[in-house]
Amino acid sequence: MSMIRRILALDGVNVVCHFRDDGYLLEGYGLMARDDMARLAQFAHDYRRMAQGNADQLAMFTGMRGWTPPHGWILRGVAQSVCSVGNLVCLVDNHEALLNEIMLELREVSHW
Amino acid sequence: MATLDELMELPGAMAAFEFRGSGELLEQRIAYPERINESTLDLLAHMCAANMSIATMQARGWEKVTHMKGFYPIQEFTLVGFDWSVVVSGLDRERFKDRGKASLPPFTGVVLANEKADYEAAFFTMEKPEPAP
Amino acid sequence: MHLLEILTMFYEKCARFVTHPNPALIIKPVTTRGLTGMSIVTDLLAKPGVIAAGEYAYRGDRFSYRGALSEEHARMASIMCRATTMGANMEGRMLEVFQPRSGLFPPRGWVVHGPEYTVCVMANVFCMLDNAKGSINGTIDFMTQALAKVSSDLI
Repeated sequence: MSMIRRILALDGVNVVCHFRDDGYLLEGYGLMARDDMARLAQFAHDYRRMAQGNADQLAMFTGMRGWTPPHGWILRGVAQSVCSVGNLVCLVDNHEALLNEIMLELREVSHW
Repeated sequence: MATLDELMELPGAMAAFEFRGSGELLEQRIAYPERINESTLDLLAHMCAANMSIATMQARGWEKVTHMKGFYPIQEFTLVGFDWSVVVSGLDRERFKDRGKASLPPFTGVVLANEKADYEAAFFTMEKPEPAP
Repeated sequence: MHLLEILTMFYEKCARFVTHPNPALIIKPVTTRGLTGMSIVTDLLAKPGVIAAGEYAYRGDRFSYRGALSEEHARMASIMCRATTMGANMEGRMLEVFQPRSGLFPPRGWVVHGPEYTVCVMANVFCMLDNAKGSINGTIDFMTQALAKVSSDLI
């Protein structure tokens, strides 16, 4: 069994995907069609690069350490959130999810 | 302040629009509804709001680090797409800020067909001084 | 091995031993394509009002440039241009998903117009213009045509 399925077992996690460095979906689990998982993976890849580019510039202009390279990001909507660390992304339900726990788990699994 | 009708007179103009700093589309004119619609303009407005914010961050950082003035405030951001371009301006807002006004006017934008696009004319129209009250 | 690749390797090896005294004349080849692109940079710099021009690698932190910028500032400009190009490309791709054939994807480039200076970026080439002396339309047209065939696959 893939290690990333461990994340799906956490409260509130509806979808988890693992993507390649170019955004291609490698594996995905949860309540979502495969095509949408591929879109989620591509989005997470793009968003990571954009956030990293912006963090790099912030570090460059301010000379402040500790921002880059960013570990991950969370985009919190009204009812759902998208969280990503490394090459993993997951879609969670705000009412059920414990974001701290999910981020810790994502970080741990992303190292494997 | 350039009106949407004035922007629609620019060469190759396909649409003109106004949007809030947070990206919401407020008003629009569309020349070819079969090629560009309100839904696209709504996404475009949100995209342009993001680009203006990033460009402003870059201009401020650049001027601070290099001491080279003349980039901030960003007057216009232009995305040159494959067939179309979009030019957006926040200059009117800067003018309002200079006058100490708290309530700011919207951003303005125009979508141009690349083959006819006159970027300088777009900038000129968007930077046109307001008529005296 | 392609001749340009050999030339690039040779140039890089030489560059390690040469420290140019004038920052405005520092030229660092980026890639094989970078060397090809340098002719566009040279042409751009010959145009009125162009302060500096250069190119950056889509991936990694390599860049080359000519003009009145220090190497450190050119490096910063490259980082900023790369970040905005990445952002614009992502936005274009998303727009294409929501509204196919929107005419904006793939983006050719972008322009930031400030009170005194303008930055034009097409593909992986950037150009800094003095608004009072340069032609924005001329610069965009030249860059669009010169870089029309550059693939965006590497972004």
